[in-house]
This record gives sequence, C-alpha cells and structure tokens, in this order.
Amino acid sequence: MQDFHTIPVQIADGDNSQAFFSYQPATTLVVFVHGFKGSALGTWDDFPEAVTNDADFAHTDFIFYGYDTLSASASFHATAFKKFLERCVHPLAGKVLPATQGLPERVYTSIILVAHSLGALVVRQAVVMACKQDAAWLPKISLLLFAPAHTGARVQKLAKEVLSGWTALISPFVTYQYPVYEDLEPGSQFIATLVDETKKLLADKKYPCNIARKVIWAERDRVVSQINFCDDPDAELVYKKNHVNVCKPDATYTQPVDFLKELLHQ
Amino acid sequence: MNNQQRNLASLTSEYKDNSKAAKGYTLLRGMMNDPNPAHLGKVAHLLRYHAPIGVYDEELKQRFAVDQLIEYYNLCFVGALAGFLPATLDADTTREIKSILGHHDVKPYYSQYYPYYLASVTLHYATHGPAKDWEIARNSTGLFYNFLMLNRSIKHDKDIEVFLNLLDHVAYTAPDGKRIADIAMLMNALKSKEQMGALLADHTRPALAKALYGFFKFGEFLSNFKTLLDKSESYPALQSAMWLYHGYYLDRLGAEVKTAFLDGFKHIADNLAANYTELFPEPEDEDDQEEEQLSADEQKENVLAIMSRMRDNILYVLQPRYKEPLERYCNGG
Repeated sequence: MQDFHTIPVQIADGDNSQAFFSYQPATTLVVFVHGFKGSALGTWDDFPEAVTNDADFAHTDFIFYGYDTLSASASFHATAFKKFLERCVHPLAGKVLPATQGLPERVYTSIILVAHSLGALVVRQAVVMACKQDAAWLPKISLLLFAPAHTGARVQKLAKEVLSGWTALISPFVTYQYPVYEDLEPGSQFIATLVDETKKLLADKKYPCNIARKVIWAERDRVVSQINFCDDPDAELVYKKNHVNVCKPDATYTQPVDFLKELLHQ
Repeated sequence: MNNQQRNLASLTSEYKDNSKAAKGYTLLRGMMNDPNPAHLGKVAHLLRYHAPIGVYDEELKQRFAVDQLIEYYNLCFVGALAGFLPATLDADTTREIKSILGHHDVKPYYSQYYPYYLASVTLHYATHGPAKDWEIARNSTGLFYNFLMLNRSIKHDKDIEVFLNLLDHVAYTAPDGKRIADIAMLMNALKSKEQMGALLADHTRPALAKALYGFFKFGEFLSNFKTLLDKSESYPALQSAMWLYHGYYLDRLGAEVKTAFLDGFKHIADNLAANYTELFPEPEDEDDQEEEQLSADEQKENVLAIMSRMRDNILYVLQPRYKEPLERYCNGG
C-alpha cells in the first residue's frame, strides 16, 4: 500500500508534468527530465511506482517534468526548465505544490536532477544559467544522467531507436525539420558553448554541481556519443540495455532506482 | 488522519477543489437547495439534451463543471477498487455522491442524454456498497496512479479532440468556407510521406495537422491503456471500471469508427515500408554503415512488426468484454 505520497499532482509548467509530494516533511526533491520525443512519465516507465512505494523515499518529493521536445531549441527548453526549477525550490510559495493538498512548505537540503538523453543537455544548460546568476540553491543540486546526449547524438539512429511508440512514428517524417536536431549533433554550437561555459565555471571551482554525480551508459546504446563530459566521473556501465530502456526500471531491472538511492544516501 | 483518509484528501484536492468540479458542486447544490418555486427545474434545464434548445457559452461552461464533478465521483469509485481509498467510502463522500448522481434531474444527463455508464455504476456503488466477491487491488496503488497519469496524457488535448471529431464525421472549414480537414483528408495525408512531413512540420498546426498528431497520440494512449488493462487482469472490477471510465470513446471507436482508425494505421505502415530507405538514410560513417548493411532489412521488418503489434493492441483494447464485470454487479449478478 502506498503510504508516503500524494496522488500525481498536475503541474502547469511544461507538458503534462506531474508531481508526487511526500506526506512527510520532505528534505529531498528529485526532478526527472526526459529526452528526445520522450514524455514526462513514459520515459521513466515504472520509476514513479517504484519510488513512491519505497520507504527510502518517504521524505522525498518527485517531479516528472515534461516538455514538447520538437517545439523549440534545447536552449529554449533549458530556459523554461530553469525558470520552473527556481519555483520548485520553495514549491508551496512557487505554486508548484497546491495549497489545497494541505502540506507544509518544503525545506530541501538536496535537489537531484535526473535526466535522460536530450534531458541532460536541458538540465546542464539550466544549471549553467543558474550559476551565472549565482543562485542560492546551487549547492543542493546534483545530477544523475542516463545515456546523456551532452556530447552529442546520432540523430538518424535516435529517430529509429525511439520508434517503439506511436508518437515516435512521427519522427522519421520530420527529421532535421526541428531546431533540437541541430543541437543534438556532436559538435553543435549548442554543445560547444555548453562545454565551454561549463569549463569556465569549473575552473573557478565555485560550482561543483556542474560535475555530474553519476553518469550511466548503456552497453547497447548506438545513439549518443559515449565521451566523458568535462570533469564528470567515469560512467557507470549497464549491460544488455540500450539508449531507450537504460532509464526504465521494472520488476527485474532495478538498477535505475538503485543509482538514485545511492545519490540520496550520499 | 490515516493513510486512506489522506489519500482521499489528496484526490479531492486535485480533482475537486483545484478543478472546475468544485464550481459544479456549488452550482448544483445551489440549484437543488433553491427554495424559490419559480426556480424549480433549473437543474433539469441546465442538464437538458442539446436539442431542440441548444447549449452555448455560460451554460456550456457550467455543464463542463458538472462533468468534472461526475469525473471526481467516478475516480473515488475507481480509487476504492484500487485500494487507494477505503473499499466502503466514508459517509460524507457517499452522501454527496448519492445526492448529486442520484438526483432525478441529474440522472437523465448521464444515463439517457449522454450515456456514460460508469456514473450509473458509481451511484450503484454509493448506494449498495462493494460486491462481496470483489478483489480489492491491495498493494497495487500503482495501478491507480498509472490510470490517473494515463488519463492526463489525453485530457484536454486539442490534437486528440480534433482527431476524434473527424472520426465522428465532423468537418473543419476555413473562414472562407473552404474545407480544411475531414476524415478523408486525414486518410490521404497518412498515405503520403510528403504531405505528412509538411503537416507535421507546420508550426501553425492547422486542423488537419492537429488531427494527424491526434491520430498518433490517441494510438499511443490506447497502446499504453492496453498495458494498464493487462496489469489489472487480476482485478476484474477495477479493470472494468478503468475501461468504463473511457467507455464513451472506446464504445464509439469499437462500434462505429474502428475501420477508419485501422485504415489510417495501414496507411502509415505502408508509407513507412515504401519509404523506409529514404526515411532512415544510411549513416555516413563507415562503422555505422557496416552495422546498417547487416541489419537494414531486419530492422525494416522489426518496424513493421512493432506496428503490427500496435494494431493488435488497439483491437484488444476495444473489446466490450471489459464492461461485463460491472454490468453484472449493477444487474445483481
């Protein structure tokens, strides 16, 4: 029996974003950000059920952030996400947590951003932007990145890999007609700028949040370039998984949840 | 407050207090309690059939609020079957459901004018309580969560709305009277790689593009819904309630427009197969080329196999058998 969280609460920001707020005083916020042609929840499969039924996460709030990947550039999505994140830090005051849920304001000590594929670009760029503004909440941030596209992705393969859902059937008909495709190309202007800005911030040693806490690579990933990003640690390797299913826990594949728990307990 | 009470409070916050349902409740309660004899029949007038007196503007908004309220009651019922709420709802909620859904001027709205069977089942449940043989899905609140989350993926989606309207033989016209979207135009678009590409890339998203997106989104929804129904197989009453929640569309799709939907599906599969090489061009780097040459035909077959499975899933979901457990419950079986 689920005892720890609210029902999925609709979030006005993004595209079908949803949140589970702990009934307990929450100290950690986990925000999930999907990748190319993913969706707020579909990308993560059994993640919502697994974490809301787990006592380890009883004091953790979860937000599954959605955005229409085809609608705009990665920069646009990153800016929108950063603005949203600013309101999540105090979710009641930021009107992310509805007052009618009757829950108190949160005082988070940790904010974990979990991203898949393109989501890693969105999240990293949002954090870089926050660093430029010296946001007070940056020390709380840590990154958990599944199959990140932060060093680029092979777009043709991406279109084919995600061809397992209905809406993904759209992608082959519109390849290269959307700005986010350009952003995903290895060596794109977006990625080059992101790397450059991250290096500068890391050189100042003031914002360690730009170093991912965990990066997960899938053995059968043929989509993203598996190259270390700046000062990120060596990737954790997951075998017999591909680009799409590496972040999808199920009854037999629990590693994604375990990775999150490791960050939670650090 | 125990867990199930907290869950009810959470559900009520999201689906009543923070939605139009609260307005619907205040509206209906005000009309029902109005002592002025001149105002008798206000509920019946608001919830009338849309002919001969049409429904527009403010009345439409009020009816939408009532629809949201009915949805909230239905969710209470589904939540009880899922073990998220007590199997027997608390006295206040039960009394409220009976007073609204059981009102003589509300009943015809959902049972006669715009038949929505689940509302009748919810009233039956509030009146008679759970069936003795119901297996409550304890430890499976996740099913209820999945259900709520899946519903949201299609609710208020303009693309899906336009697609379903086309299936209902609605035609869209431009201000100059020129037809810009109908079901035949959608079928033709699905056959043409060029037209599909152009429509999907049109950021102004005209009605036909909306319908095209809606076609894919609704297909995705049905595929995901099939997965949820499969997971609920051990709980026939819950499975039946979840199916009936979408019963209005599923019935319509199954009975009247299934052929058009499946035609559209065949067109897109043919389109993908005929243009596979162009839609999935060979990669430029040599390593990838070697990998592609080895498996291009297989991959094409895989794509078509995936689509075939999707088609089968749709047909599976449209089976009216899902209604039966709750029909038996209401009929005393």
